[in-house]
Parts: sequence; structure tokens; C-alpha cells
Amino acid sequence: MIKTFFLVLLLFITLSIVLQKNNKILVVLYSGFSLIAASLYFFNHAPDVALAEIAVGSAFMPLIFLIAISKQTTFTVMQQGHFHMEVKDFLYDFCQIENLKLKIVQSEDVFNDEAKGIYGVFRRQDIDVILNYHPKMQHYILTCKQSNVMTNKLLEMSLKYPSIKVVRTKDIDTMD
Amino acid sequence: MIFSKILITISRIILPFLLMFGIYIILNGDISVGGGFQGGVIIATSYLLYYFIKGQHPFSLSKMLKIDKYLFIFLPVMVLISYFTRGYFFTNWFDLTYAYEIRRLFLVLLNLVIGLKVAIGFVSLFVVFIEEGNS
Amino acid sequence: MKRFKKIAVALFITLLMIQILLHFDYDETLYNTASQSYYVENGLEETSSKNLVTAIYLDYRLFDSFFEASLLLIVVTGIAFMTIKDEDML
Repeated sequence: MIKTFFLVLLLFITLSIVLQKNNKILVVLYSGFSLIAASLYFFNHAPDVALAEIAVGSAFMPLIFLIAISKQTTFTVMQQGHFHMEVKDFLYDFCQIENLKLKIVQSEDVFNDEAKGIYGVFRRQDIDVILNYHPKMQHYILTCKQSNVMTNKLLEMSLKYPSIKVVRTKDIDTMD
Repeated sequence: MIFSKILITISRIILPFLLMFGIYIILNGDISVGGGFQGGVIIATSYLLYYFIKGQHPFSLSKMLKIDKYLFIFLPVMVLISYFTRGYFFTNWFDLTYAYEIRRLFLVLLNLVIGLKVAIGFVSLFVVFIEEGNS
Repeated sequence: MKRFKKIAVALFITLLMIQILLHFDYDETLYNTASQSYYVENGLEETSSKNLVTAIYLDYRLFDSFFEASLLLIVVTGIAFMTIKDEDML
């Protein structure tokens, strides 16, 4: 009796997980799914498995998801040298429209090879946009990948500024 | 970064109780529900709760990795002692003639070793995951 | 057309699961209960633990738990190798 009730409830929660689009609501629904699964384990005479399922499914997995979600909302820009505030205003407006957080790093910190040696390969940051200044033509160049979804709107917004140019590069095929 | 004061205060109060609860589940692994793996996960949760909210390590991470290395040597020594007392590998040291309370020592020690190893493994995995991408 | 296919696959899997749940009866299936009866009868005397799950994974099958615990050290070593960025962290 109770088992069939929990099973039907599990079916409804699964359907709402599949159809939901907001990321933060999904985490709470996943935690509820894990709780109901643990109660089902208990009613089938297996209390050890229920305890492990609660500890892992309701405490660890939402933490992983929350960290991954919060890392998705930062927009990293790498610059070589120090630049005028006009480009920074443009990037700030872009981030405000898309609800992202702006983070600017210097290129010397990312590619510092003497201190790291071989470990530098594993520790490179995820960079979205590279900022450069072309001294002859006097405009700024923003380089980004074509597969990056966050920079879709950057090209349209840069048409209003004559001194900013956006370049989208294609990925190199890897040999995996 | 701004850390909220309500969460910091509550997590500082809860941390010793969570730790004690985890050790309780490990030590009563052979009488009641529980065991090494479940208690280890709870201890890892208590460490990560404090670290995720405040941003500092409650215990130092390098000392925990050292303890993990010593536990790795301690585990085969405990398991292989039973060859000299009983003649078989991978079983209890004491014979069937001893009482229950003396034979429980083997199970409690093994549960502690497994619990601590699981906790240290989970904590190191998460610290890397949280810190990846920060310069 | 694509949406119709997705709904058809989902309905098919749901009906399959409902059929399995309705026709599965635990009391009538025939299992080989040789090891189950041995564990239930002789578990307490030989291992001195009142929890049968603990008795199985810490006395009868200690070989598997031994390798599982040593696998965790290899995982931690691999992760610690990948995280060294400046020498005072780990």
C-alpha cells in the first residue's frame, strides 16, 4: 500500500524534473527524489542502503550541482596589458544584460610557466574572451570560440562601437 | 566576497555535533545499522559544510593526507596478522573460544579505518572541485 | 514528427515498467537459498556481530573490502597530483 503510493509519487517527481527548465529548482527536486528513494529502500527491509543513500544523495549531489551552477555564471576575460575604460564599460553592459559576473585576469598569471612546469597544463583556467589591442589600426580585438554559447550576443552589441571588433574562431579537431 | 553571518554562526555550532554523530555511527557498526562507509560520508559532510560557507579549512588538508598514507600501511598489517594465530588469512584474529566483547575489537578497528579513508577521499575530491579555476 | 516519436517512446517504456511491476511476485519466485540459510544460521557465532551485513563484508568477504579501501588511496593520489599549483597548498 505505502510502496505503491511512494512509487507513484516518484513517477510524478521524475516527470517534473524532466520538464523543468530553471536550474535551481532542479536541485531541490533531485534532493526530494533521493529522499523518496531512501524511504523505499527502508520499506523493503534494507536500512544500511537507506542511510548511505540519504548521506550521498541529499548532501553531496546538491553541493556538486550548486558549485557547477555558480561557476557557469562567471564570464572570464583575459587581457595583456592595461586598457582603456571604454572596453570595460562595454563588457560590463554585456554582463548586466545577460546576468553574468565579470572577471578579468592578466595573461601573466595564466601562462606563468617557470613556477609550475608540467602542472601548468592541468591548471589552466577556463577563459571565454581574449582582449587585445592592435596599435596600427587603433581598435580592440575580442577573440572567442564559436562553440561558446555565452558570446552569441556579443557580436550584435559590438556593431554600435566602431573601435571594437569581435572575432569568432572555430575549434581545432582533436585526435582523441 | 561577502559571507553571511547567520550561516557562519550556525555552521560553527553544528560542526562538533555532526562530527560526533558520524563517529557514533562508525563505532556502532556491528551492533546496529551503520558501518564504515556511512559514517565516513557524514564526517566528510561536516568538513565540507564549514569549508563551503566560510572559505577556510577547519582542519589542515596536508595532515589529513599524511594520515591517509599511514592508514594504507596499517590496513594490510591488520588483515595479515590472523595467519599467525589461526592459520587462515583475512579473518578474525581471535579463536571461537573467546567471548563476544573481545572479538568485537577487530570489527571496530576495521570500521574506523574504512570510515576515515572514505572521509579523506571525499574531502580531497571536493576541495579540488571547488578550487578549480581560481588563480 | 519528432515530438510524436518522443511521446511514443516514453509511453512504451512506461507501459513496459507497469507490466513488470504487476507480474512480479516475490513470494512465488524460486531462489537458491543455500548461502542465505548458512549466513542466517552461523553468522552470529562465527563472527560475533549482530549486524549480518557487517559480518559479511568484514569477515566472510574481507578480500573485496581490502581492495576497495586501497583503491581510494590511488584515487586521492591522482587527484592530489593534478591540483598542485603552488607548493604551499598541498
